[in-house]
Amino acid sequence: MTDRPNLFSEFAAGIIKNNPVFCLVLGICPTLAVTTSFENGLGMGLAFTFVLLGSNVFISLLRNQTPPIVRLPIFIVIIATFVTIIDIVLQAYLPPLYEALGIFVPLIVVNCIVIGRAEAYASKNSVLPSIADALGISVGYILVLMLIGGIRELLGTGKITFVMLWLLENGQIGFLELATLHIPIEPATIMILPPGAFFTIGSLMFLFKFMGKKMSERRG
Amino acid sequence: MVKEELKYVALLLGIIGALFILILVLPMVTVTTILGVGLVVLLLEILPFSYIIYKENKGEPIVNAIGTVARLTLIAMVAAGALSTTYETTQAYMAANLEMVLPRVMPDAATFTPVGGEEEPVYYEAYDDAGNLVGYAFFVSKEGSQGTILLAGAIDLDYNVIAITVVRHSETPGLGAKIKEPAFRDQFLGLSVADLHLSPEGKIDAITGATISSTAVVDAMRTKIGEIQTEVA
Repeated sequence: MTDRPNLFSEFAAGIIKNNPVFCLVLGICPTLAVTTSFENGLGMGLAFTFVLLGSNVFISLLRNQTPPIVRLPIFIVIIATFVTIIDIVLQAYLPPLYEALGIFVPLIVVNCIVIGRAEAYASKNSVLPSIADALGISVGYILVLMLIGGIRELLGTGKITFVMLWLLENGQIGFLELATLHIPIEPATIMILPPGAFFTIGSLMFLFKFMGKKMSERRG
Repeated sequence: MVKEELKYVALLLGIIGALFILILVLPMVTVTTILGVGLVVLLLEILPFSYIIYKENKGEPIVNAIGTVARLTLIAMVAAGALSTTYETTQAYMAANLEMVLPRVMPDAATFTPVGGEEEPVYYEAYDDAGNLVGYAFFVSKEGSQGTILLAGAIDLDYNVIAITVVRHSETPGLGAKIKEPAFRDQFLGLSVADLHLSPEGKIDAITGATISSTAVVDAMRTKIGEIQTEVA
């Protein structure tokens, strides 16, 4: 029993130690592109969670049938199939959810975190730890996307709207607005344009690494 | 040297064969065709590719190389089968979802009669409960900056816009995706073809940082309403 990976520690590693954006520096392309608001960050993160969970499960199940020499084509086939199926299924059976998340799903094809986890984790571990890994990485990714999106929305438009995915009053699934916070500054439009993404991610990455270093110094 | 060249000839033959088959069957993608084509490809490819892999990894038995190619092809076939099954089973729902948009753009109308067009109607005549023609509803799609934008709209009998909604799009979130927001869409209400240009030429203000998406929506609406006008007249 001792050599079995601890599911919770696998999950927690995805949030801090293996944080996809700040530590692995993967998936930067969609991160830069969609984090223009809190809502977009959450939407992209949720769509990403579906795909990573599915691809990790299947790649982990097929890991003994995957010859090393052709593993990359196999990973790509599985991930691309999963992205397309989720795109079609959402569109057909859950149109309201598709309206909220739909534009993010095809973007996941360019998200290298998915293939990164397939190569580094799912292809070497059994299904349960792979699920824990997918969930941890996804939570880490959602948190980062919401943080970056929130900062850019706040500085770029002068207000931030907090939302969550919930059952709306009309019985459909969609984004429910929780609260809107205004700050009394002149909005800097550049923050919601592409340069703002680089400023925000760069500064946050510096802070994250700086704090991590300080904390490990204190501990060690 | 000869063996080295043979390797590339085999690879080239394999790729040409696969492409040839792909082009032949692409217009009729069903599960059966995919499985059939997969099997043919498997038979055609298995020897040249196995040979290449075998040559690359000296010392491994050729059975392993054949297994590698067979597994890759099988996984690709299963993926293709899963995709086409999903696509086929969801087609009916997609069409139904699209029809359900019409009452949303024209809540006053009770029935919609498709007019013209071979596969898709050019527009829909909208009738109220009493059977009077109250306007026209339509779908129109146009390439935006990231992909196709599908719009649904409605015009009254004087060809002024009474509703516009974005059914499907893949514009950049936060920029082009703002074409969905009322702030942009409400500008269209009450406008006729002459005003459907970006300002200063017309009366629509483009979204900051998303001129391509804004232009696509305005152009699509103008072209379609013009088309309906000539069609009705």
